[in-house]
Amino acid sequence: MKGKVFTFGNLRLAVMVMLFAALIFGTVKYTGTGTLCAYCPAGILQVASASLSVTLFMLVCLICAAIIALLFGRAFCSWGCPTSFLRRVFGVKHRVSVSPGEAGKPAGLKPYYAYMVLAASAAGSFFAGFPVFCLFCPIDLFFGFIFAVHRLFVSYQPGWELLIFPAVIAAEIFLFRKWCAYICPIGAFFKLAGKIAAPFVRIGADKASCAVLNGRSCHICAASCGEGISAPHRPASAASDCTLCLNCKDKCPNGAVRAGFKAGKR
Amino acid sequence: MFLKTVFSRRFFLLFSFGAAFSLFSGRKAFSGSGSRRFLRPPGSLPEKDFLARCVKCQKCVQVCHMRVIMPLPLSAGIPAAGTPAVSYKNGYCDLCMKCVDVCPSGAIRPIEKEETAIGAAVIIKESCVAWDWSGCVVCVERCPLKAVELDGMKRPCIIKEKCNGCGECEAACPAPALRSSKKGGKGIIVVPWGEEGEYER
Repeated sequence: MKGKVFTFGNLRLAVMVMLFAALIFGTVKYTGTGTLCAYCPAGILQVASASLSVTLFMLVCLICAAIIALLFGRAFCSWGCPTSFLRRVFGVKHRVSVSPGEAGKPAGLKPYYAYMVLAASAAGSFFAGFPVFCLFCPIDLFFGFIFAVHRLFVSYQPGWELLIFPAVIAAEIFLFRKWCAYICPIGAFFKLAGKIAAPFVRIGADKASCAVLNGRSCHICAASCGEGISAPHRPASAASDCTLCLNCKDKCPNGAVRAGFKAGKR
Repeated sequence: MFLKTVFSRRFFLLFSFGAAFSLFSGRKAFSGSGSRRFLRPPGSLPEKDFLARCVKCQKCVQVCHMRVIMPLPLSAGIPAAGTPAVSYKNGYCDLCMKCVDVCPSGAIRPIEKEETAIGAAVIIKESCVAWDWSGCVVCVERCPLKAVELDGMKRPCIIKEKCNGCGECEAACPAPALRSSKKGGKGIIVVPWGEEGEYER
């Protein structure tokens, strides 16, 4: 696999760069497409509970996000989220937990932390009167930093966020390595659909070529997976945890990992 | 198991971090963050409702072709940081109302151009050149609403009822260039509604 240019890893990088370029282009050309925060389902839920009102745009975004969640599960986490982009740029390992054997073990309340954060931020917004989680959301801070730079260059107004926002993002990335799995309410929103019904697009292993399914030991896919999911033996949690980053498809020496509609249905 | 995760180092860090942050921001919110006023884009809701709805998506900042809408810095307070505010340092609002169209959450609602009330212009008498020597009439000439008039001694005065706070006077005011002192600011500035009284002495 070494030296291969077309990998899903590089494709993800290209998607991120294109999203970033679209943000810069939109700012230069006055398109007003905004940052991801305009379409964020967690932000919409918080605004709805803080202001007790919804606009048509928010409703449409929420429905679109729910459809994306049903189709692709947590795909946003690896294909669109700037935090996972930053993690990759700074080489912060994404590993969450399980080795293949551990998957069946009950993990206590841990899998529910992110949902609790989602519920708590919606409730907290109601009491505080403004979207609370956005204050420490690394995505919000990332875009806040970019627009602080914009303000610095366009109207020559520097601000403390030029120093503080990167520091908070760094603290969140380096101290809370499990942020994405256990804290992020946006991820929780996309995961929730996977809990209700498995996303339509998922990974699986080809019976003919997968080493594990043919009785040999391999598990390269599980080792390369940030969530520790093994393509041939997906644990029950895989439906909601898989971010469709397709690292496993990149790494599989036999090309046995399949991704698609209802792939590897059991 | 549960206790072990609750008392682990990271969760302690998270909790202290979160608690400090929410106490800090929450206290500010409860002690009336609505009392601190900013110049909001035209059509913005009252401060409290604005903060409840703004998702800091920066759409209005992007779409403003005069580049007068900018995110507020952290010094404006925790809940307000990153929300859009108007500053007339190098431009003014031409009421194109594009910020109204793009706002996704209704923090900026559609209004007629005539209803616009971004703020009110006030004369800073120490900085205004015409209040010292008379002769400068830039703001009087630039005001599209004829809300700045000269009094008997040819000094500019604001007619508050006519002013919509578009900031054309502030953007054009030549006072900083005309005065040698580096401290001197603009002779006419736009301030949020309710604060204009502090400048009338």
